[in-house]
Amino acid sequence: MLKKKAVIDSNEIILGLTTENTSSAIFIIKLNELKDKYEFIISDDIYQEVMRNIPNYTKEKFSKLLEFKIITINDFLTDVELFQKYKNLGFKKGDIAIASFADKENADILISENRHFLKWLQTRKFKILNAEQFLKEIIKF
Amino acid sequence: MKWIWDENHKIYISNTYLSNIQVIFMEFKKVNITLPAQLFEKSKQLIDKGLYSSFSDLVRSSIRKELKEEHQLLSKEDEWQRMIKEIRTDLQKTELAKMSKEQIIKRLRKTRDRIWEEKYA
Repeated sequence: MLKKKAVIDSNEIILGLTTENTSSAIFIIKLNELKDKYEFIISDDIYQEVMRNIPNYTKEKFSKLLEFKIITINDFLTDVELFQKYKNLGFKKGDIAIASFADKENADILISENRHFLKWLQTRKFKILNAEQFLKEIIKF
Repeated sequence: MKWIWDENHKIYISNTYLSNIQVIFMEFKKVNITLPAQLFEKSKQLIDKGLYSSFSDLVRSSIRKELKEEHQLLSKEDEWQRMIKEIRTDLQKTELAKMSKEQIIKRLRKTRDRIWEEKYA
């Protein structure tokens, strides 16, 4: 079965690792069960965002979490055309790189709590869901 | 290692060390299984090729393999959850734990913008 590709935004990771009983927390725990159906990826930028916001003593543990290969870091080379595309669509500067990464990766879903992403519905390139919407979608199927 | 099969008592005796004889008791259960004919035929081919000594041997090996894989799968799941719990415990001591969802998102936005300035601007 072809796996769906899902980009996980840094806010889902941080919220999933700092809270309990929230959609983001359940989502992070469930990633291991969902790995056969989804390929979860992050860009180096998303990885950096997480690393810069957690204390040093947790950084090593977060890197160990990535060693499970449930979430993988994929390389992203700057793509001026894609950047322009998302700039024209009105994306905020930092979000341009994340949307371009999802586009370049041919991702099916971008999972984020970012309202700027969530209100953006013009694209048919990939779905943008928050953790709660994503969990509802996997229950549905 | 020498193994002695005692048919009457169904006991395996290993005399690896002459002074230290190890006795392992094994209880056996007899089960009848129903298989698709094709699967049975393929199983017989494996036995004929000498990969298994009997059909029972093949079934035992397959179940052991399945149990081992299941165990590895479960341990990986446990390990994933354990690592997440460990990170959560760590982060409870930080200011992130005291922040609301909106504050966390805002903080991450600042980091994102900073990375954008450093890498792409």
